[in-house]
Amino acid sequence: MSLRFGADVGGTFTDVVCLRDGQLFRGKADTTHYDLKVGFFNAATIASERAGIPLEEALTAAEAIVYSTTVGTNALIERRGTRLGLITTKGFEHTVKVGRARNWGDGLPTESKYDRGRAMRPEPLIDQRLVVGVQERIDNLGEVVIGLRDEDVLEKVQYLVDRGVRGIVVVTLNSFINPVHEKRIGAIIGEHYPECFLGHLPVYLSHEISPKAGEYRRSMTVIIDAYLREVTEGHLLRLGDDVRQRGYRRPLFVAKNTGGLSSLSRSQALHLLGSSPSATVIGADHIGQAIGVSNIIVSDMGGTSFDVGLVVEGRERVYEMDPVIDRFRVQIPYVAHWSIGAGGGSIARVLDGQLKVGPDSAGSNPGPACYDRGGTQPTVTDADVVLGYIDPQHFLGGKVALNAVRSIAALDEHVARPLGITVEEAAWQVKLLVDGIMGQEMYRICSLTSGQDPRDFVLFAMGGAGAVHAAGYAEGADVSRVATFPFSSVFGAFSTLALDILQTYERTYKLTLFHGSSQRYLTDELASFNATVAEMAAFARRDMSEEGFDLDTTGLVVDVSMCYGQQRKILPIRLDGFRIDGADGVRRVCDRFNKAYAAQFGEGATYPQAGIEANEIRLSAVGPVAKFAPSAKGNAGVTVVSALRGSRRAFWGPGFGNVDTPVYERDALPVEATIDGPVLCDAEDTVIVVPPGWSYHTDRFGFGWIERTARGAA
Amino acid sequence: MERTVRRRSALFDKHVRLFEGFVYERDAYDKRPGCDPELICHGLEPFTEIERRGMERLTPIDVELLTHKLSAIVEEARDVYMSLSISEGIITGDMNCGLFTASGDPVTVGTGIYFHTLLNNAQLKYINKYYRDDPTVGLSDGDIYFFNDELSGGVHCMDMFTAMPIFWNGELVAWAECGGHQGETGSITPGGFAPTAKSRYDEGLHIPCMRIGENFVLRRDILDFMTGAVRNGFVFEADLRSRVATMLLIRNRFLRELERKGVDYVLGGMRQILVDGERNARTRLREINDGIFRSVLFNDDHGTFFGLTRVPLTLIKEGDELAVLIQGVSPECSSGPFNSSWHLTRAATAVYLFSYFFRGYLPANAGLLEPVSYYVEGPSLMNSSAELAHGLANQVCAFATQNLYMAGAKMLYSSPHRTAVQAPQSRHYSLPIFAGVNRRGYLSMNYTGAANAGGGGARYDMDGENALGFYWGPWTDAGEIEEQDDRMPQLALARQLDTNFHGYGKYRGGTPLLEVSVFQGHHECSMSSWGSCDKITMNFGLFGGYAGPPNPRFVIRDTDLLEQIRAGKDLNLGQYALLTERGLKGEYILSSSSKDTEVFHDGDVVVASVGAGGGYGDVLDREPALVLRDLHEKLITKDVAEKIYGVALDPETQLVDEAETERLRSAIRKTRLELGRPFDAFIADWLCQKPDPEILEHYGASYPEPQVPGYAKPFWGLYD
Repeated sequence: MSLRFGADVGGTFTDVVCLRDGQLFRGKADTTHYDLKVGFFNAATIASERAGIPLEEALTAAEAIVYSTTVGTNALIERRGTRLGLITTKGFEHTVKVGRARNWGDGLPTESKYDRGRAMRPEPLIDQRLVVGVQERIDNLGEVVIGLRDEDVLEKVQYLVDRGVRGIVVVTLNSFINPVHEKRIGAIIGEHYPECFLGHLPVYLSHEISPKAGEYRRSMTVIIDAYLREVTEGHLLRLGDDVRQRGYRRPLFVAKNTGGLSSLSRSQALHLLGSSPSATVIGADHIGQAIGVSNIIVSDMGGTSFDVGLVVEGRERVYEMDPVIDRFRVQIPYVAHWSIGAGGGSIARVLDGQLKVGPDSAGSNPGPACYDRGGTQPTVTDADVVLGYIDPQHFLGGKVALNAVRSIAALDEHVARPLGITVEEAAWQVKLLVDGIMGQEMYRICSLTSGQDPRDFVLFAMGGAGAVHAAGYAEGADVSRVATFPFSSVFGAFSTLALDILQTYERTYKLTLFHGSSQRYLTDELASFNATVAEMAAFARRDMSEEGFDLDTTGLVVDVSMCYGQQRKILPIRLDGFRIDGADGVRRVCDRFNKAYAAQFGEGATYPQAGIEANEIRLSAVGPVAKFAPSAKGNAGVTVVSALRGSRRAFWGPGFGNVDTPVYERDALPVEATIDGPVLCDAEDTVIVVPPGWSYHTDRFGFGWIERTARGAA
Repeated sequence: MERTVRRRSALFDKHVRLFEGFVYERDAYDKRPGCDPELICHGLEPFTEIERRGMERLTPIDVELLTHKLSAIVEEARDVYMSLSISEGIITGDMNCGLFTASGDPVTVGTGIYFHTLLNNAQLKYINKYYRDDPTVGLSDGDIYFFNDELSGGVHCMDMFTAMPIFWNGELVAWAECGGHQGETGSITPGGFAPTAKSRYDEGLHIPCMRIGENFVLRRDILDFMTGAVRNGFVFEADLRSRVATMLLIRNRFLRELERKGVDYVLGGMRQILVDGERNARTRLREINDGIFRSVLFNDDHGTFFGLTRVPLTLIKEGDELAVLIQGVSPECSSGPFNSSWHLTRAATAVYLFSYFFRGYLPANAGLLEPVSYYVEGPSLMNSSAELAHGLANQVCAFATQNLYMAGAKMLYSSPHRTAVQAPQSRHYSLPIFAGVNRRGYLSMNYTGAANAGGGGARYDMDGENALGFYWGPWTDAGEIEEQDDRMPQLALARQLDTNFHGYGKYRGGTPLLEVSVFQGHHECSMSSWGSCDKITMNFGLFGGYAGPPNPRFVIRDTDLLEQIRAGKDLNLGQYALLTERGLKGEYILSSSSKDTEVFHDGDVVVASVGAGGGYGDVLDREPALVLRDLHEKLITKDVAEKIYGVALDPETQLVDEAETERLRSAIRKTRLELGRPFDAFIADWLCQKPDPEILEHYGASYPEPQVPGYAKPFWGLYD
């Protein structure tokens, strides 16, 4: 028997997927914030029972449990991390507090970034009184301009210890080029506070965790990692103990925001933040490969937010190299995903005569007006109810009854009357606006991040509200095909099982490859460059060996980030192997860079006369694991007609008005069937809304495709 | 003498006099090659037929979605432009990208710098009017135009822009544009800013409007001319190429939108965005009490020398219109580059209006300023003639902005928009421009990212933010020292928030990032600098708050700084500590901020910041706990806590001693009452005082209010 568990602990639900002998079984339970393990075991019990095997037996047989958790995210939001001290270069003690003078806007929506009159910096993770400077300075070439004094370090460490810090982060300027001072500070602390004594202080040296240029980003990378280590580690160790007590025999694996997984002993706390949406992108990539699509916009529309990710040309994922986590900019290769403040709970209102939707949300409590839990503001879900897309008696498979009268009243009071239109028109405008904004945000993300044309992409619609609005936001995104999946409500958990073991190693490495004024390819420093790559590969070998892989079974790739002379924009260029050899090798890499640059910015923008530089090396080590493969399904006597459950009156815009729209049961439809819109397909977890001008098609795997047949018909 | 002016409002007509011999509503120079002042002050161009047609079709939702889309396009362009450029100014956000109507009005911008939004459009109108049908020039798809002449509608010649027309089925439908502070211009001073320039001809390259590329490609002959005309042709060309890439991106995205939505829809929507901007601005104005609101500013230098000048500003607000009157201004300056233009003075006010007064209305565009009329007396310091040098125009125009913060706060306090009430963000400058070979062997000339870390003004309900950003931009980036080390020739030894360097108040102003640099090693380096407010502040305090302190240029020559540190001395490199402790060997030089190029040597130290914000409200109303926090964060010393805030600490616990604090504060209040004087007595005494005539050389013909015969009005009052 082959058996793996994937788990995704979210804010509302904990999802577990059990992959048994190639078949998926879902489990969903409430997230138990008082102890996240409880929710996990509840969901895992449901999934394993659906797989026909008791939980203990399943755990004993399991080859892996892959876990994606928000424990770090919650601790960060609530500022519940470890009390840390920071030692940095004297004169630069405000680097973290000031955050490049832009950190008051980092992580905020555009309108807030432009509102500098109300600018406020985020609450810091380290009290400014626990930031100390030591006299030292190393320049960008690694030369020691001011040496470090041991007594200065000792005095500052003692100051921090006296104030009760539980860990010390050390970030000195240019340590990524020359770490001698950071190492010495680490050694001094180690000498005076050795591990054998109680109260030993963990020390986090920035060059070890993030050997990259940019003292603010490097500081925040190390600080967040150190800040969350204790709380994350504690939770995962306890979970590991519990699953082992119930029979599990393998390491606990965690999903990482870098797009892979690793065992707990090879993971950093920072990499666990946002791991679920990152995993979702990889899961979409995996499914995409199985069904033959390589460019995917991944969308997940829930109650309060709308998450978007991209898969570009198969496995070439889109990374953010300096993402914002919470309100802080860090430097890790983060599988890019973006959150937009729009969801089923987004509140509609009229301001200055103009309709606005979101970004504030009614959440799940009180929730939309139709939830009948005290909410009086109209939301996107209320508009969906009024438009007839959601059946109030059949919401979430009939588990929750909605009050349509309250939806009508809320929309009437807050939108229809202020705008002087009917309630239906008001609901329609809410839908148009939220779909338009979401679609255009997707367009922006697609084009902004990777320079891609959204028309070359298909859209994957996840989340409870995803399939309801997918055709609408696809229009705004300029996409004509949307895929929906029967397991889309647990796609995050499913996606953890699509991850490979991954370790990534990065470091800043400055190297001129092409000299601008002499127009020569330079080879003088290649030996040093190749030695650095070899050293990184050795680290990869060590870590992958711990994960059970040797170099024969590990995929290693090296990307070099390159730019024209003194430029800040860098493009990653993949090496053929692990070395650059001779002038010919340099020329090949430079040619590849010029070509990539021209493709992205136009031929006229290329400027090799300025010289070509390498800035950064990234080595990724991938240990492949077995994954779910969708299989073709038979029809076993079902027909389109047999899946018809009746009709609902639904409003499809002023051009169509109210139409008696056929309603099908999604899971009863045959494969390879096509139905023209307008049509509604009800399911336990969502409604698939297919407007006029679109059709619904089920492929051989049973996946549903909403496809445009005529532009702008709705 | 007095002349009739177009009626604006009853208040305006009653209380304002305009005079013959001055211009008020346009630049104070005539048409010249490549520059037409009539186009500059034109306002929005009339609706076109296609725009009108499109507007009829559009619903408000369509407009909102189009606004979102166009904003996304220019913001993407901004990010790309900042990433591809290598000029420090552009990398850190002193730039702008925009989409303009075919007739040249700015619709949406990715910023960057707000005042660029309202500039750099007259050039497009000039091309449309004079070049498009000229067979020797013409206008075609793929053309690339360049402009940097302040007289054609720009800021100063360091700010360089390019524009690309966008055609659809052979018709001009829009313009893509981008540019920013590139720096070096081939002026008499390396790095562009020439503080000793006396005419525009000392300031290097001036191009009013020139086609530099065709078929989306830059012309090699013109590139050679341009890169040969400046000291760092390498940077110049790299940045020009980044602009081409950026404009192409805007163009391609925009064309796709036309393809998707149709030309009527998009062009009509662009016009509607401008119309909506105007409508929003009028709505905001109607919500504010009518009245006349004033502020006056005194400036203390003229570039490289000290000298007093005066700039008053009066707002006349009635109904949904606002008039900005700048009158009684000191004359223009022929001894230095210390002159603004009408269009720049107007555009500078956008920084305040867009960020605060019209807070919440996005996108910021020309429509927002339609209900605002500008009367800037010229020729004067604020609206000068053509032949003068204008390099520091960006400093001069800020006088209007600082005044506007003050007058605007008075307007908004009793309105529903009190959240926008605050003391001005710092506009003090002592900005060094370093020039030399950096440690990686590249020639480098520019200022550093610390220019983007000025202190914010205190707000009516909270402190001003420290190191808030660049004065002209809503959200900018000060970068990181490790990148700066890689690009610049000098070496920063400190970059920190300084002590006792902000405006005190119930809510305090924000402190800037102070950068302390040393020259060391074998790398040659020279430095010029520019700025003002060396003795008199223009970072006003509001409603009783202290002003942000002045900050002159501070250099210490031939120090033993590195030797002392290497010998184990734990030096505090804050400005306050350096000046009060004087612990370094060497010559301490406090001087006018603007200075021409000087060579610097090993051990020389430069201390610079872009100033601190003013405070809000009475210092004695500040919560003692906030004073204690400032003390803990070393933003103030114990001396300031006691003497300014009247907060005493328990010597043992170092916590607030409440009883002693109350006693201290009572004593301060008593002293204040003893020093108080009736207004008439104060004014009578004040008018008897006069500064040294030497520093009044550029002040104007009469004191205290520069005025022409027949202009007489009381210094503190208005015409009845």
